[in-house]
Amino acid sequence: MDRRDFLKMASMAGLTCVLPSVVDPLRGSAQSIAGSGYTGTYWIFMHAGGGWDPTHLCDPKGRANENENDPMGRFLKSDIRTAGNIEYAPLGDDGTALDAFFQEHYQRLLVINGMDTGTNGHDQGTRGTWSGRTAEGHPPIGALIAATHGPTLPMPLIGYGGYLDTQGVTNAVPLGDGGLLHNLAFPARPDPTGSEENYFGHKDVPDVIQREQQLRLLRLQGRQRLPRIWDGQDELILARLGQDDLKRVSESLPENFADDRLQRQIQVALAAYQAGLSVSVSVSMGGFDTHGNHDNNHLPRLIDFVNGANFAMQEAERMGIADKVAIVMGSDFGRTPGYNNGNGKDHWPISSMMMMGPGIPGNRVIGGTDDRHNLFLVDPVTLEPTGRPDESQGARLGIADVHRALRDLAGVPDDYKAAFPLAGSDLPIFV
Amino acid sequence: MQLSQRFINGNLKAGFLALLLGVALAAPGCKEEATLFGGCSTQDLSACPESEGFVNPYTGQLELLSWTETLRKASLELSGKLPTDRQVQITAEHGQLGLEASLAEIMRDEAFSQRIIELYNDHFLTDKYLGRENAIELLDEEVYPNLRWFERKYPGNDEKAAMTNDSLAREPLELIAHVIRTERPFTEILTADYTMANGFSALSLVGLPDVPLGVGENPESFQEVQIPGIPHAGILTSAMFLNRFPTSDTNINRHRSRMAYWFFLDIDINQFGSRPVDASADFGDNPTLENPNCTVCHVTMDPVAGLFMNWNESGEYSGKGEWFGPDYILPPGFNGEILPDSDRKRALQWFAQRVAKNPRFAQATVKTVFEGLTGQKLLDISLGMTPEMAETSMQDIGMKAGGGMGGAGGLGVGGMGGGMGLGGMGGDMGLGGMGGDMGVGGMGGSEPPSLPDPDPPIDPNVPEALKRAHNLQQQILRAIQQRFIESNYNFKLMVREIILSPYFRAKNSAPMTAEMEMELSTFGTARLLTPEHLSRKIEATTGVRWRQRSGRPDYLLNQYRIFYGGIDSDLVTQRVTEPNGVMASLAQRMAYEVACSAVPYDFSKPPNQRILFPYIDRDTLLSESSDQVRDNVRHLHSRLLGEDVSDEELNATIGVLMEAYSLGRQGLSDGSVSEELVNQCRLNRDRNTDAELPQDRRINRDSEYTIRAWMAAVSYLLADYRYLYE
Repeated sequence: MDRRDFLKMASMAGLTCVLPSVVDPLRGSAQSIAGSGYTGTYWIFMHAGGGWDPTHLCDPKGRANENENDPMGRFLKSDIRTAGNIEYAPLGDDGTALDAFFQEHYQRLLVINGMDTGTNGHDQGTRGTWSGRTAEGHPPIGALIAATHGPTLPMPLIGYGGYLDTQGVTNAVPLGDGGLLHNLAFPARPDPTGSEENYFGHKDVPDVIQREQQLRLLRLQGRQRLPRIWDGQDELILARLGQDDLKRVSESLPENFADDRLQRQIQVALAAYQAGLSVSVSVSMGGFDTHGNHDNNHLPRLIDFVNGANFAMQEAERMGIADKVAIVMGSDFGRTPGYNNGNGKDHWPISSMMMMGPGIPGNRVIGGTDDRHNLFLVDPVTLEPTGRPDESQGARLGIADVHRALRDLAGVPDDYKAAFPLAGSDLPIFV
Repeated sequence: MQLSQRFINGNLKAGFLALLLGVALAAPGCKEEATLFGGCSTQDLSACPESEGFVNPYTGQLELLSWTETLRKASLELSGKLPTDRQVQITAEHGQLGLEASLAEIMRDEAFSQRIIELYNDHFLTDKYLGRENAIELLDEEVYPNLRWFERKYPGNDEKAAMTNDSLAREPLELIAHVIRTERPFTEILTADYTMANGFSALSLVGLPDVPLGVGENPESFQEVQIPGIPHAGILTSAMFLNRFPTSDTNINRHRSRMAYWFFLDIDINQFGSRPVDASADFGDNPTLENPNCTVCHVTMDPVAGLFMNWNESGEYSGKGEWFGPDYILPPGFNGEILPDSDRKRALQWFAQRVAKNPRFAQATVKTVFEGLTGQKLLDISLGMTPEMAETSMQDIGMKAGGGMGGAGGLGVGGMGGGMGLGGMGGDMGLGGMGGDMGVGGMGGSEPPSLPDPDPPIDPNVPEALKRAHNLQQQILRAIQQRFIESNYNFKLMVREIILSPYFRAKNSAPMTAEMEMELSTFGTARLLTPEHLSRKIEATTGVRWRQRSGRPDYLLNQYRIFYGGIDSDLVTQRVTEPNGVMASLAQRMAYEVACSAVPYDFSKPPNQRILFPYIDRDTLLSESSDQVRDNVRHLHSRLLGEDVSDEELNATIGVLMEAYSLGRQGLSDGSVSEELVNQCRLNRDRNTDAELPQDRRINRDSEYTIRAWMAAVSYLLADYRYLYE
């Protein structure tokens, strides 16, 4: 049963229904249910779990020579690579492991360096990077965008990892990585990819059951007055409305899935977008918290992570939706300058983000850091780095500033901004 | 390290001898100590410790479950089973007292232990190490020379290896189950001078190569085991726990400290550190000791980190009692006390004894179990920190830090006491810990700070109705906490009190105002069942398990576990508590497949053995006015939903039955519907034992469409709100 059928059925039964408070945090303005496919920007948020090292990515430092004490990295500064205005680290055996991504996409890519996350704590850093505030209580930007543009969609935010505490503005749906999706798309069929036969032998019986289940739930809800239970019943009503939509995702799935888990998740998410059912996805790759043996453990993960973004764009191009896809990459925080006694790197509040997509100016680097990855202030108009805080004037580029700009770019409305206020300033990050 | 290994190995030999003599392993069958609930049963209500219970705080407004309804809900929650007929009868006759006796029986069921293991694994996540050799690989054969005893005794026997691995992995959770089962003071989960092992894991932990299996009568039964040379401190010294919350050269046990505060004292150190780190500030040579941005957490965290000094990253005991000097990290201690030098080699035992005596241990336990059993987070209206407040605190830091070294002590006072609202924590911590003696590296006193006030300040902007809701919740939880302490930390008594509380029992309300709606916003459990819970309920109510076939794992515990919001204790560690389209589809598929399995199976049995269809046969033609049909639908509502069904709902379910029946029979007559059941629903083998069924019990055809019509009615109920939620 789709939304329109449900509305019609409820109306005929004399029952009223509104979307629950989980969709609208401002309960007084509950919205009526209506269905429509989403065709706007698809937001892919990629989280490098554990705290990545920007000095081995888009804010490369390296060392001047092989004899340098306490180097920032073990590659030579002279080997740092460039793509347009963007510098990146020479990773991999021949230093070209990141070429595929940067050389292919630099014209769409915005790099934010010298970004102050304001924390060295994993939980706070993850919250801060994806919500704009290190303290608890704010939803991730992906949830806000999903709630803004897809409040009635069945899977506005697909959540595979990262920061997913949505604060009730929407639900994060873990959609799996493809294999079992068909079973869920056609729950009444014993063999969902084969025969259309269902368990009851008659094609209409499952519809009768589902219709009556929803009507009973509405009756139960009509008799319920405790808000907690009422809300629970609402959750189930809403969730059931998304059941049939899984069929559309199932039909959009590629025949061949990638071997890599992150890439498979991206494939499913893009299929959900192509079916008009999803606004954003949050994916995550762990293993970046390398307090020991940093280079051997961290750098291969960075390469895989960036390759994941490259794969997402390749898939989007294959599906003809590349101009609709936005990718935002970030992590808990950065890692300390130089190596500790275990050849590892510890927590460091200065980090970077990379993003690309509609409305995001490419071939651009804003903010910056010194040779030891200490932050520079920025000119609040040009966003060019001006120097260290103790010797320069300018604005501190913080995570809240980035999120204020992201919210504007994605069209997050004022009521959400008021419900989840951010510190920081309105900087021309996407101008 | 080599020295300590020889030390341990030497002790292991002694331990093995003790093991053989039956000293280290308690022999099964020993006389058990009398316990509070030991004699309490539905056969002997007089032996039950009575509870004061809880009055309905909103009599006439708040509607509570009846005692028998509470019994059903509690039985499914605590054991995954329906209550016995006798429990229902005694509860109906004796009300609360009957329920209490029934709960005592339910909590003696082994399924209750497994439920509590599940509840605590949601926090400890040590089930990550179940399977393959995940637990074995964490341990070092240099330390445990008999770790892989099974390779020599049973070469190529994967089952023995798996059993050993899982027994090792379950060590900390089995300790919790053991303490509860024996009704020892729950504080023993920290103070136990033993660990838990069975015949498999004991040989890995204590023993020598080439020894026979068979210590104890039941090698799969867990017993108390002392590993010689190890100063056990319950879970705190469990190798699995220590591996799950690891350390590193630079973390130096701080993660372990943070988790100990969180699990056992209900203190979230992260909340101390909600102030932003000033990245442009001079962090100094040792920021965790000197920089107020860091010390705000570390002054509390680091002394307890030091108490883990003897346990390395692999959870192995060094026996050295060595830790860093005070110029690097605050000295080991806890709650205003410094660890005496004489206790350094048993620092975690010293810590465990102090945690056990602290009322915050009971507070943390009640919170953990309340949230675990109700699925409801406690209402938190304590003063949060806004970005503006955080910025103000940063300014305070900047100003005072400019005043020189003495500023550090004052920073905590200014920053935390100056309106940041970090609960009552600011006063105690800032003043007691940081503002005192400046002898250590230029910051803070050498004594660790006292624990924060358990009553943090309330946000003044919160509506009065919500404050009343909060105050009442705290009042009831504190009462449970007090009763828990007075019972000498009897875990079962605490569970019973939670079950008796109005938070577990609230089911509806009389009409109310918007303000009253807010005031009652904490009442009523509307908990989406976890995959484990739903899996148990399916078996308890329908008599079949949802799985491909006998011998295969339940879908909800295997391939659908994560889809249905479950955890794997590794990559997925947070349960999804609100359903989504995927979960709704999964529940729908469950309803169809379980009905497909259970309905023919139940119909194949003699009427007096049926649990779903005692009032009707499979070939009885259906009519909505039939008493048989109505009685059986009423029975299905009771059996599956615990519902004394109203006429309206009875007629609605009969409507589903009859509409499916009508469609099916029409299809049979026009040839569009087959008489054959689909293959998955056919019954030729026993659903549970896989044994071949006699011909007269086999069901492959449904020539009147009665079976499939009943499948439709059962499917309708199996995906109902009252089935999927408790």
